[in-house]
Parts: sequence; structure tokens; C-alpha cells
Amino acid sequence: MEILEEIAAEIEKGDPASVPALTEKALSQDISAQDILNKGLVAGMDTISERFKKGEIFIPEVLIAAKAMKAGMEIIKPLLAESKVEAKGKVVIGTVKGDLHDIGKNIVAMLLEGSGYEVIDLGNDVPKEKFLEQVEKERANVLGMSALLTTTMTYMREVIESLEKAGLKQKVKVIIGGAPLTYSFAEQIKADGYAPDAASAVDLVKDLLNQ
Amino acid sequence: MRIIKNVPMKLNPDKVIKELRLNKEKSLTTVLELLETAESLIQPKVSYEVAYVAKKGKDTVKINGVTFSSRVLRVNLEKTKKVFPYIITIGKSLESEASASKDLLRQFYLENIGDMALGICEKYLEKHLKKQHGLEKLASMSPGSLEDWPVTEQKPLFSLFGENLRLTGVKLNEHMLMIPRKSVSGLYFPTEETFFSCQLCSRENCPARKAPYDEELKKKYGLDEE
Repeated sequence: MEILEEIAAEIEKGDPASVPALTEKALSQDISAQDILNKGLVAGMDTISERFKKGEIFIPEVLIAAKAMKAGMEIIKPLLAESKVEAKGKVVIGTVKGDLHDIGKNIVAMLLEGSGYEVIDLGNDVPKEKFLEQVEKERANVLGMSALLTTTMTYMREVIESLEKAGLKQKVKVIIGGAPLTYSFAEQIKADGYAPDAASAVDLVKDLLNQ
Repeated sequence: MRIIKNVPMKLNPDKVIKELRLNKEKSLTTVLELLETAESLIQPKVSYEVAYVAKKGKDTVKINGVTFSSRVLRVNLEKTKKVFPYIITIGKSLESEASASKDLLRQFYLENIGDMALGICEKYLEKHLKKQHGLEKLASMSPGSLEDWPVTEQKPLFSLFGENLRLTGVKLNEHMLMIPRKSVSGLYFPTEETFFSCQLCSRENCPARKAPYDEELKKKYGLDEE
């Protein structure tokens, strides 16, 4: 088995101990950090994501794999920065004002990172001003918002209206997620997409940025 | 108001492994360590009131002088006089430990263990109420679990506790979110038939589902008319 395939396989197995060693080994074989990222680490996470979508595995296994991926990522991160390898896209993400639930949002953030996106996580209870400021400052491609309450999900509309007023809505794709949300709510508030679960959030970002 | 603090909180590792769908061989040590941490942080507090159903409207019901708007609740309380509004929390410590963890997997485990602990408290209360009030069967409903009984109805529910509310250790923020976050609230009521709000909710892939969606039951409640 080639070393990159081995890295992907170890991520699928969820072994954070072996991934750094294999990543080092790949580097010593003069394989570029970018290839290790895309053909090893991200490839492993892609398989995990597919299996999760099919219902073959569950969140804990996804998180274990993501942890293994992160362990390899730590090694190549400085090299990627050195060689100015850009992320696939930049995503600003946060749970909206008034809402303190963030585990779902954290899982989405981790999966996005695992798929090669740069993620700026603003945490929870995020006011619209902070979303706007970060979208503009980071020149984000995607803004992801999460809410777990029917009383806080309405705040997403306010954020989108503020983006429109600030002339930022055309520059960033807005995606939303959280238990009480639906496709029709996303349409109503003029979000660009809705993801019912973490794995489909990654697919949604991929689709929106490939349009 | 009655407060129960001594809820036996022994989480079964095998059950946790099963609920989280983990591989026992690989994860037993982690789960045992997590349970030890969690059990030291869980501070269960179960508060409940005994309240009485008075007037009933078409889609409303008055309990201890407070009006609740929900057709499902109204139908469920058709033959009921006595109900048990409750507020349960396991305190702030576990959720703080989870939020502070930079390890997302650990955070996920602790959050889920917290939910399981709340479930244990709910079951304990149910058993306690049956014994204390000589009831055979109880069901419960919580504001926010159905579109028909939205989370905004937390406010009237909490008002049933009056001055004693501060003793429950739980408060509502302006968005009706309970603080501490690891809290549950609702209303237990005697019933002849098993009822779960999940039976009236069609949401797919819900990890918290307790019973399958039942379209016929939805019709019975007249929820298909809207």
C-alpha cells in the first residue's frame, strides 16, 4: 500500500497515534504537504464522511477519525503555510445570539477543516455585528449559522438582512443548520442553503463554492 | 414545591457505550474515565409542583390559573385533573467541563452523558410520582417539543412555580433557553395510553426520538387540519 493510501486508511481506522508518524514518513519520501493533505488526510476524511452519510458509522467514529486527521494536519500545517497552499475556501461559522448550543456547530467546523477548508469559529451567542465584521475582515466565502431554538433561529434573518444592507450578501454564501430549521425556512430568510446534518453541511459548502 | 436531590446517579458504562454506538473493546477505558469525571460533576435537582387543570378551551387549557395554548396538551388533559409541572437540572459543572474541553470528542461524550443523566432524573421523577400519587401510567410533554406547543410556552410553565422558581436552580433567558443548559422541563400527566410527542413529529434522523412518527395519531389530534 502506498504511503498516502496508508494515511487515508489509518484515518478511516481512527488511529491518531499512527497518522503523525506516517505523515512524517511521507514527507521524508519527498511527497509534498499538499499531496499529503489532499490524497491522504482529506481522502481519509472523505471516505468517513460518505460512510456517515450512508448511516454506516456514527458521530463518535467521525470525531475519532477527525482527531487522527488533525494529528497529521499539525505536522504539515507550517509547510502548507510556507508553500502558500491555500485552503479550499474560508468559512466563518457561529451559533447565533441568544443560543448557547454549540456541539453541532463544532462538529460541522471540524468536518469542514477535515475537508480542507479554513474555518473561523466565532463560538456561540454571536451577534450580527460580529458575523458581519468577520465575514468582511476574513473575506469569507461562506457564512455558517447554527441555532437550536425556534426563538433564536429568527435571528438568522436579521444577520442576512444586515449582510444585504452592508453589501456583503452577494460576496458570501450563507448556510444554516440546527434542529428546528428546514429548507423552507432557509428559503424564507434568503439563505443560500440548509444542511440537515454535519456531513451534508460539508457537501453544501462544496456545491456552493463550485457553482 | 417538592425538591429531590438524591437521585441515584450511577451511569452504566455498557448502556453509555450502546447509546453512543461505540466499540466496547476500543472505548471502555475512555468511557469509564469519562463516567468518573461526569459523576463527580453531576448535581441532580428535580423540582416539581402538583397543579390542577381547570378550564379547557378549544385549543387551550388552564392549569392553576395559567393558560397554556396547545391542542395536543388540551386533548391529552381531557380526562385529567391533576398534573405535575417539573424542572430538572444537573447543574452547571458538567456543561462547563464539556465547553472548556478543546477535545471535541470528549465534549461530545460529556454532552451526551449529561443528557443521559437528565433522562435518569426524568425516569426517577416518573417513578416517584407514580408511587406518591398511586398512578399507574404517566406521560409527559415539554414546551418546544412540538410546533403545537412552542418553546415560548416555557414562560407560563415556569410561572407555575411562582416564588419557588429560584429554588429550582434554573432560569430562562430572553430566548426561553434554560440556564444551566443541561436542564429539562415539562408536565407529567396521568394517562391511559402511552404518549410521546415524537409520535406527532415527522423529523427524520432525530437522535432523541423515543417513538416512531404516527401520521394517523396526528389526524386524531386534528393537527392535519392546519
